[in-house]
Amino acid sequence: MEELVFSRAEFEAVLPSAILFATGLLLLLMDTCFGDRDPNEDSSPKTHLVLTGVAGALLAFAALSVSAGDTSVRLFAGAMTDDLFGRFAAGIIILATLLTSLAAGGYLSGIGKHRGEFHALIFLGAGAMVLLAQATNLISIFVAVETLSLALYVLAGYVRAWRESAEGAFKYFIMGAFSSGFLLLGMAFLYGASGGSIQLADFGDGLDPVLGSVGTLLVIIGFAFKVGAVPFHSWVPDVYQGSPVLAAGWMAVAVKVASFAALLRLVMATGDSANMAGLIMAIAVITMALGNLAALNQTNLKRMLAYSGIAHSGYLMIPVGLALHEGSVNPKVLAGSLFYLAAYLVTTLGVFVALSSLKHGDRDCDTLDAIKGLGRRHPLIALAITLSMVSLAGIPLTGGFMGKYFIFRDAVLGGYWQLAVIGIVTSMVSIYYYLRPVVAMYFHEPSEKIEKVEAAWGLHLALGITSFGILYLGVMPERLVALSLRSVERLGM
Amino acid sequence: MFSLTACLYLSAFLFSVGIYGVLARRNILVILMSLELMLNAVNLALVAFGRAHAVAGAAGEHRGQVFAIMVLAVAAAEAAIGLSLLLLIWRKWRTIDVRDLCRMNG
Repeated sequence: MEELVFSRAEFEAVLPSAILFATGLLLLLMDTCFGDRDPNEDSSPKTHLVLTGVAGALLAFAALSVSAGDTSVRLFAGAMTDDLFGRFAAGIIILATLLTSLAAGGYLSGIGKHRGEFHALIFLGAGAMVLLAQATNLISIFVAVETLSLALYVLAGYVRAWRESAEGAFKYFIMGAFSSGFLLLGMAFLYGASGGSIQLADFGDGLDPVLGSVGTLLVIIGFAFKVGAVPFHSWVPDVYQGSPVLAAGWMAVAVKVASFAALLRLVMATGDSANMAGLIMAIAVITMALGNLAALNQTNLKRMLAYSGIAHSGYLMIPVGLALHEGSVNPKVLAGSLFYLAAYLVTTLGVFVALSSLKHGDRDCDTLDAIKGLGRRHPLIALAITLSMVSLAGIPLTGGFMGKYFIFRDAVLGGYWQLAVIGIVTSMVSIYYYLRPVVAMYFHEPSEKIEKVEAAWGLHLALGITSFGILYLGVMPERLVALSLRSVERLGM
Repeated sequence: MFSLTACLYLSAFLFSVGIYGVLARRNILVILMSLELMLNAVNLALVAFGRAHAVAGAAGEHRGQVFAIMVLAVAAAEAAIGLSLLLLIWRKWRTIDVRDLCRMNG
């Protein structure tokens, strides 16, 4: 019998997620204890919650750098690994949470729906996401995936007064639980195929060929649901359209990061024993094509961004397929994924935070009509949206361009120039729908009365950070590229 | 008593019933039950594999069974969220038919 001892390395590895969970619980308590019951409470900015959240996120970010070195250490009898890869992904998740919680006060008080649950839920979800990025056995992956999903279902239905919100949350719940069933079945098969191991590291060879392939396939399907890859994407547009815009932004970024981190670990572990490279590349191609084409004629911005998120999942699938190609598992190309995710963080949150600073009565300002003439009314917000759209489209000097550049370059170097061509063509198509809002903002007369939320200091700060990040990653990507290369070199399992 | 194959067939059957229920039924309550059925079908497979692969006395002998317990806990949390969403929809629109929940599309 092994003795159960909580080692220092284990303590350091769980510290970031522990801080996030603790912050979530603290926020819940604070809202219950200090909330005065006056009717206007939901419209107050509740700065104490915002500041607590920001402090918690900063603390968790600092805790990431506590554990030292490039080594990857297996902890908790293999349930999780502390490596640079996991910490890189955790860093993106925590930054997304930090920016969201900065913006949440102004946004939620603006639409008159400010309750402590929102803050608590993003922190509880983020804690689970950080665990998922570090998880290396089937049980810890499953529990982390489910914990984060439960937080997301509630966030999607956060605004109970909107019909779309409840509808989106319910669709998300049904589809999410359905996909969890497949994920879990795949895990059971992997467990059976490996002869009784739940450790990712044991799935490399010696898997029962049939059971192992089916298991890997089912798990990939489960994660494809979570990241919204075609053909498992149908929930994404409804959920984004129904969710409050800031929650949609946080979901878009953080879920992708956590799910891709887990998917990468899993794929690296199983290797190409199941011939999954071709399948993943096929998913990448149809996801890029369908996401971008479906986004073309959307007039609801949240829905348009949902399809854009699907398309970006497609781009992110390319390195996964490349890493597996021809049976030789090559982790180097995964650096492209990590960099892309970091660029995606600032780009996507940029546009969602910018939209959060606008409102239309007590609704989100989320249609093309509603932002007409924004360039004249609120030039700075219009500028931030433009910058994010340009980066999403992948135009040079932005982080989005560098991310796409690295992925397409790796595809060409790996001998899959067709993937790069399809990626470039679909990116060009995407310029059309990304620039439509820009045209609406600058070249149309203001048609509706757009209101800007009061108490917008947090939104402004978050927008400043994302805009700076987009330009920084576009002009000086070297440091982050080096860090992502170092991260994937010693990917632990 | 029962062979591993027999248990897996039963599990696959239950899982398929669950899939059918989610895809074909319109009543939200039945869909929630079908989702639970899917998870529990997998639990059966996990426990069956756990018993088949057990090496007496070895460390990690009961991994499959432990996994199944974790799944039970997760399923309970999921049911709580599912039922509260159901309650929200019922209170607002007095319906538990999924056909009434398709306002957004395109």
